[in-house]
Amino acid sequence: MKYLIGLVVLSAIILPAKFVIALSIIVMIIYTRVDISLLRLFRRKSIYFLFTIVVILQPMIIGEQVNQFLGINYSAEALINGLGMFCRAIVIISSITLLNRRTSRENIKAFWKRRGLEEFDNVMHKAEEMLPNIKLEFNKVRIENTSIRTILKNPAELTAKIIYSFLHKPNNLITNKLNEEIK
Amino acid sequence: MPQLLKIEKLSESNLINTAVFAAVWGLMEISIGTFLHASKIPFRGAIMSLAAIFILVSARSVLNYKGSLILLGIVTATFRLFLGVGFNITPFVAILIESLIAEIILNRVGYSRISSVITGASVMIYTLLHGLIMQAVFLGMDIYKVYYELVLSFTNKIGLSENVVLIALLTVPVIHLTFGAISASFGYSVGRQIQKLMENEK
Repeated sequence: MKYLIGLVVLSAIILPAKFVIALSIIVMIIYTRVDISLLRLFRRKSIYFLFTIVVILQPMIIGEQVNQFLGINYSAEALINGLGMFCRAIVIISSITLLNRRTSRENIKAFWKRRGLEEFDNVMHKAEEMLPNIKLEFNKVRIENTSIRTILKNPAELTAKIIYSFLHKPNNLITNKLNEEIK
Repeated sequence: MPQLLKIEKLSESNLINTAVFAAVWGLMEISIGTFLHASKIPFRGAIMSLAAIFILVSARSVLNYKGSLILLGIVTATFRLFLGVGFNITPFVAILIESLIAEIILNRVGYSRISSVITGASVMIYTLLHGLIMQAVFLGMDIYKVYYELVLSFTNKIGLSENVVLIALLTVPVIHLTFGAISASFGYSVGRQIQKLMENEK
């Protein structure tokens, strides 16, 4: 599936606008059969903003405006090009979203390991463990070391103190627990 | 598949310190990133890049091994991919490239305030280009033509001169570079303070 998604993205990038329109219809039908929630993309306001710029405004300002619709002059060539651009964006965004949903953390870990990052898994695991505690500890250290005067006088020193409290030290209470786990 | 990023087995302290900076950066990405995503503030990417510059530069004071900042970036980008809200592939790419830029400059030039400021400025230049590159990937190169024509027709309608438009357009990168340099310089100061605290501990 991931190779097929890659091929779809590549085709959307390479193919000319008129072919991308046809491709996007087929691809979106297949994608929605795989994961219907991909259609939530059309709930986003940004998609309609994009549509307004590339499909509505573009034909009115780019190319030869020889065609007319409701009294508005527009370029048919720019309209097709704009539709192609919009369809291409939809296909690429949907493809990446689908790929993201179907990729597990294990796949990502294996991917980086294959590229030579032996320690990725360990660092990721430790960082994940620290993430919930770090916010609590951060607030604790900040309250212990902070007065408005200290912050204004030397913000670098205060920030350093906060970060330093988490770093590896032989007698660090926070990291000692992690050290034991490594051993 | 070739091994592009060979990083040797880490010592206990390097492993934990990398995890600490990754967790702090990840926390920033998730909390501030989510807030900015929801608030729809303009220049969200630039704000996140300032945080990235600060973390990368200050982390370099502690993480001296080769590839440290790349590993830090990869772990944070993975956090962003799985824990962040919205469409996460563009921040994922941005974090990876920012850490790559920092790794190259801080490794080649060495760790000093000047190299940190260069790193900050370079990361902010990339941040400016990131949006344009991503839009070209998603929409094609024609989007530049659309923007150009839109700006041109808008400025013609309100009667702005070419010089005023040029100055307005140049102000954005100058502000980006200035803030990038400030963030990097602050990151360097924090890094030096961390080094001092570590020396005192010994």
